[in-house]
Amino acid sequence: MSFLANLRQKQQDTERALSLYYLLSIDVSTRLAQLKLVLSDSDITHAQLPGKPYFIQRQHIERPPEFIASADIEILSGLIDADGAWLQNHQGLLAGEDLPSILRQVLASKRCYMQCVQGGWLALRKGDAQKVAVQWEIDNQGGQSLVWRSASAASPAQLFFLQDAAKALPLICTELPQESVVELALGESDYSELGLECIRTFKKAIVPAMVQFFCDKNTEQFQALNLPLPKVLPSEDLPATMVPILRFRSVKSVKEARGMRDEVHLQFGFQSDRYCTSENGKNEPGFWDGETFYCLVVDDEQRDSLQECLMRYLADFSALQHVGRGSPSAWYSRESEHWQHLFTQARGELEAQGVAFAVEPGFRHDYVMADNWHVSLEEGDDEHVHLEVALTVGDARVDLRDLLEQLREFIRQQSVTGCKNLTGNNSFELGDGRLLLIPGDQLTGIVEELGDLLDGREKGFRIARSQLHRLAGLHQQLPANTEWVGKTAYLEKAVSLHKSPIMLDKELSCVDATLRPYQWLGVCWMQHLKQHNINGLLADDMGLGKTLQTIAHLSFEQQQGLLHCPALIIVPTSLLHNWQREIERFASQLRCKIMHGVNRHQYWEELGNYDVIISSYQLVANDLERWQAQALSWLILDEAQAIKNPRTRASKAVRELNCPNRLCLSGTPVENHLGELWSILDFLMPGCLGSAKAFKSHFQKPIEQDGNSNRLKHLLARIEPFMLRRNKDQIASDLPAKTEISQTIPLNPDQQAFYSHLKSSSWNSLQQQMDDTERNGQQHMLVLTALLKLRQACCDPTLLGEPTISSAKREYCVNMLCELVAEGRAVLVFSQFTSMLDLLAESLDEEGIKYLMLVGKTRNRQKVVDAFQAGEAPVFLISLKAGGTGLNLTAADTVIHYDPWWNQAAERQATDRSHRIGQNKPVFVYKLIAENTIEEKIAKLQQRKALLSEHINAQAQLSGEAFAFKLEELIALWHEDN
Amino acid sequence: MTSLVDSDNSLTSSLEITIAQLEQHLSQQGHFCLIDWFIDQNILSYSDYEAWRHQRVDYIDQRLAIDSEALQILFVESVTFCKQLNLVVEAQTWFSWSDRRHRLKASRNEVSNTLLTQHWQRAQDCPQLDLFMDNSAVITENEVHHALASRQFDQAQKKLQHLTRINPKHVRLGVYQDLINYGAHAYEARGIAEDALLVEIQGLSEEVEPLAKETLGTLARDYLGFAWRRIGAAMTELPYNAEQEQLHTSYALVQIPDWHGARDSLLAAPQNLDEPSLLHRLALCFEHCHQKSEALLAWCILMERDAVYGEAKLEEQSSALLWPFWQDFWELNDGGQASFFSAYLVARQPSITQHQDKLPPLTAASTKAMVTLIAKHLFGDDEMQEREQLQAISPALLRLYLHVRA
Repeated sequence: MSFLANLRQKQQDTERALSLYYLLSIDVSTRLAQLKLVLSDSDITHAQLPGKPYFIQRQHIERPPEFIASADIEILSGLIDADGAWLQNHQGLLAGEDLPSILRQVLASKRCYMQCVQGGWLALRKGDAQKVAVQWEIDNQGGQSLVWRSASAASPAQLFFLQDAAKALPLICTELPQESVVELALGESDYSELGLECIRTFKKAIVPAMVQFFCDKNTEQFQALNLPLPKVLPSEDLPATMVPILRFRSVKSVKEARGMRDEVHLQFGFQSDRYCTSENGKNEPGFWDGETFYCLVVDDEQRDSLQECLMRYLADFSALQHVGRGSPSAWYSRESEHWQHLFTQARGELEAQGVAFAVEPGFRHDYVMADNWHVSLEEGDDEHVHLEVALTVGDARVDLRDLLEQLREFIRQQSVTGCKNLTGNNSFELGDGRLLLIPGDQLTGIVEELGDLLDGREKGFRIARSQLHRLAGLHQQLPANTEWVGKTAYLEKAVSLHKSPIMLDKELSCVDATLRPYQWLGVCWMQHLKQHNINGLLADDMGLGKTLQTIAHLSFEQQQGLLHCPALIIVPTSLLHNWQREIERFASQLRCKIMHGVNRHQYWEELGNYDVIISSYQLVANDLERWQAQALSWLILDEAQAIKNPRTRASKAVRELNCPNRLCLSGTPVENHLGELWSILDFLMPGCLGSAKAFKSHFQKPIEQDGNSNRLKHLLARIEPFMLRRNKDQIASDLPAKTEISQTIPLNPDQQAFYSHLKSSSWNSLQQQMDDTERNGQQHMLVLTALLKLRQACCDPTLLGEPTISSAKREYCVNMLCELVAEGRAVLVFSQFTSMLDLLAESLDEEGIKYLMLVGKTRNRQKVVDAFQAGEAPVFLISLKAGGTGLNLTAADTVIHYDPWWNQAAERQATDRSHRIGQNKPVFVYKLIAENTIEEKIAKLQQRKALLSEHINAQAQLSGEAFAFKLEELIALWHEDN
Repeated sequence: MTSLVDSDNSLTSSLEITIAQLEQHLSQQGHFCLIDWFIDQNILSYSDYEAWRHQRVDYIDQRLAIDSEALQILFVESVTFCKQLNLVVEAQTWFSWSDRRHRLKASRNEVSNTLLTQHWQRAQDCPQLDLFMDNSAVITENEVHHALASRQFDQAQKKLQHLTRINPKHVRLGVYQDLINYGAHAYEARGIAEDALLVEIQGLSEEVEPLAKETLGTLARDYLGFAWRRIGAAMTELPYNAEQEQLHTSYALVQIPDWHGARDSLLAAPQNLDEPSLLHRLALCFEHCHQKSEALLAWCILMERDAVYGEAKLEEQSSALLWPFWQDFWELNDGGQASFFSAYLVARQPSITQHQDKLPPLTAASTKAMVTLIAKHLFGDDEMQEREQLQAISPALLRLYLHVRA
């Protein structure tokens, strides 16, 4: 014995938490009973039988787990040796020569149980053998069979005659209720081996016509073996009419892969005034009433003619095969399609011709098709509407709820195999054993629509009111003639929601901007959602004007008198002033207030005087109670990915706000995983995608882990009414060739402190130096040098040797690049400071974003340019001097000017690197400007200069001569910034 | 060119980590963690690691065989390489083996603690939360693994019962039961009767160890460490028997491998160190403990005591340190005698003679003659007489010396 086996044996004596149980049952549905064994793994302390089914594992035989005792190993090995099918199986029939020994071992384990009629479990033990004897038994058709009977009439035992038992002897089962025990014993008889052998040979009943012949032949032998003889029955003829019957049954067959063969037999029904029966045509039909055998008299010619006709029809019609020479009127098929064809297409015609269909229990292909679908919508509780989907099959109505388990299994199979049967039919077993066929495409569509509703434990369908729009999808998937009843207004509304928004009059919005068609569509979409009491997510790509569309929408609301109380826009802190500026610029009639800073609390009482209030995520969370008390007409979240994690404080806070109209803006609603999208949409329409858990199992896992594209398609269809997303390529024709966007970025507090300190100390020093020199050129240089430091501080304090101070602009730029790269954009980033480009390069390295760099010292520039043009990196960092002239960068569609240029003409030329002939995409130009800094002043001065320079010719502009800043302008800049 | 002045015996060379080493460690372990790497490189002895896991030591960085400056360099390099390999970092909480709720700290310094304990993995190897963490059978199986590695066999049994309830057809239930049975057996029967030792060793090495390695992967190290240490402890008082060379504490400790412990147990009984098998084991211990000169000296003594045994071990390439010397020796000494190898080693690495006080003396005439000659050479004295002596023993040996000098 091995070392570990030795240890294992020592452990056998210790108490076990779990044990293997043997659950026996006797199946009497067939003429000869079958002994069925189920293996179960159950808790020994509770003995709540049955536990979990135990599937025999070969590894467990070799190395048994705790719950398998050494006695179990012998039993399990015996089962596998007797029939290999036991491996990886937990149940099967006990049969064959090994039955007695296995039964003995199982009973000896003392863990063998049998279910009693009342439902409880009774322990089984080996009982004493009982005497049995054979008798002839007469059935209704007058057939006589040799059967076992207990010799002891007083015994309460039940006798079961096991199929395939080594001997013909029966199994005797005696229930002893007082002891809660059932005894099992094999029968015992006085017959000789020869007698038993003889009994075994009489498996079939002897028909009445053959009894006399049988007796003549066997009397001597039977008497010698002490066996009884059948008796000749008194008989009488009876006239009868005839009906052809197709009888369907599944029979055992060793030739078939699953041990069963599906057959159809042509039979005839005979009807007399006293009796009716059916026969396969070989035997004389008749019946035994206990005293007389009545033989039905039929027209043989009529029978033969009908038989021939039907056989020809069946052979031509459904490609069935003959069972064999011995059964000329029986056919079989292994193809379920043949049976489907016969039951769904041929059946009507055959029945019209008087042929009856008789399906025996257990036949595996009793197919039916649904005649019609019905959907009923009824009011449920406050949050749900009841949905009932049913089908009619003939006269019967089948509720889809009755098929729930099978539908769940269907979904599970689909998700496991990843295959979908879209062309064929799928079958579902009805309560009466018939198989309902539903076309694959129809079923897949319905399951996709109802799938997550099926996941729960509920027995019916309850659709959340926030998900009523899904009815439109269901409507599309069901046949056109589906009958919808009950609260059909919900369906009408859902269908209407899926229609395109009504285009409103653009003038009604009163914004001081020319909205592009796609932008106006966005505004109309917001109104469309509002009409349907739905909230939405505007997820256009960066730069397409989500802010402008929102302002136009609020302006429209105000103009229509719908803005009864203020709208709250929650934005990242860095964008507070951007929003205010944009509102002032495009819709100055909207009274706007920023709620930020320590002084904000003095304005709570007067918020009702404003149309729009802007605050940050953090402060809304801080002031949650105040905001909850504030009436709001709209709650708008900019950069709504801020609430992608539903557990964060901000995310929880915004969900607590009371406002019926909600709108989210985000160019990247999904940054890492689909759960983020769920979080945003759940904020907008609580429950619209189900619970987080349901969403995860129904959408997130199949899409992200299994790559289930259909599920993704389905999710997109599901959220389609709530989300409007346009990327730049989709609306390229709607976009101008070049869109310029100035983005102001507030400095971080530490950077702001550094900048202020630098500004004041530089100014003092500059004044001193200016006093010391008279030369205008030198003064010019002094001012430029001092300004240079401030500009560098705006870009990144690291440029001035302060790496510990943060850079708001670098953070913003890197985030922006991540987003643009995710969008698939090709971006040029220009800066005048090559060391700034190095810092950006470092950050891009950390983010894992590929880039190329072109600075003054770069050799073989064309190679770098070609690499960018060939798409080797999505970001191209270029310094002012390197990128000024001679480059053709038409692969780029986005330009970022990290710092403002003195010379706007040169800046424009840099922009035009990506906007040359050959560029077929709209170009977006972003100018990053540090808020309340020298950069802002430079940008304003540039604008003024640009207006003046409209009349200066382009060459003069480029030379910079006419465009250079004068000393007084530079000093003025300084003053302004102070 | 070789030199008569051998290289420093310090740890410098083994302190470097290369991206290739890191990648190799990653492919063996499935993740990269500095603590595991230190154990692998014997910068942290397994006994110190165990002491830390049992809270007998507060911080593990105090037990590393490198100075803090080198440690800082390693921190930077390992992080850089991990990032270059696009690995994903995951913070890890290490729990005590004595009290499974107690969180261990690898260093008093928070940053060092993080750097030492965190795991780097390939993105595709990171546990997919959605995929695994909602699968209770997988979670429970992982808990069984960790309980086994933490030597908490009662806990492992409970978890295994839970796993059995969830999935009674799990094919490895019996394997886990065997590992728990063995763990419980080893835990309960701390002492081992002398006559049962061989059976225990055989059972552990032939049955338990392959099973644990196959099932627990890298966690098998901690599961088996405890078992081998138990066997090692049972053999401390046992007289050495050359017929059964496994029956020595050092054998068990080498299996862990706890090279430091094995070395100490061998040095604790110098009277046994004339035994070739123990000398070989000691040489390997020194080598893994980065004591290069001592390792070479042990080989010298082994080659003197039993050149046939030593050669057999060398041919198994059991020593990465000695193999190049062996190759060079035969390059220069084609057709010569293996017994001169010790003298050759002395010539190649004179510093090994400085460690003679720790080990049995070199006794072969050829080695002794070479030691004397080398001493003369190092002092700059006239070597003529000693060269003649060497030539008298073997002209080939003198040629070797001259070649090395050249």
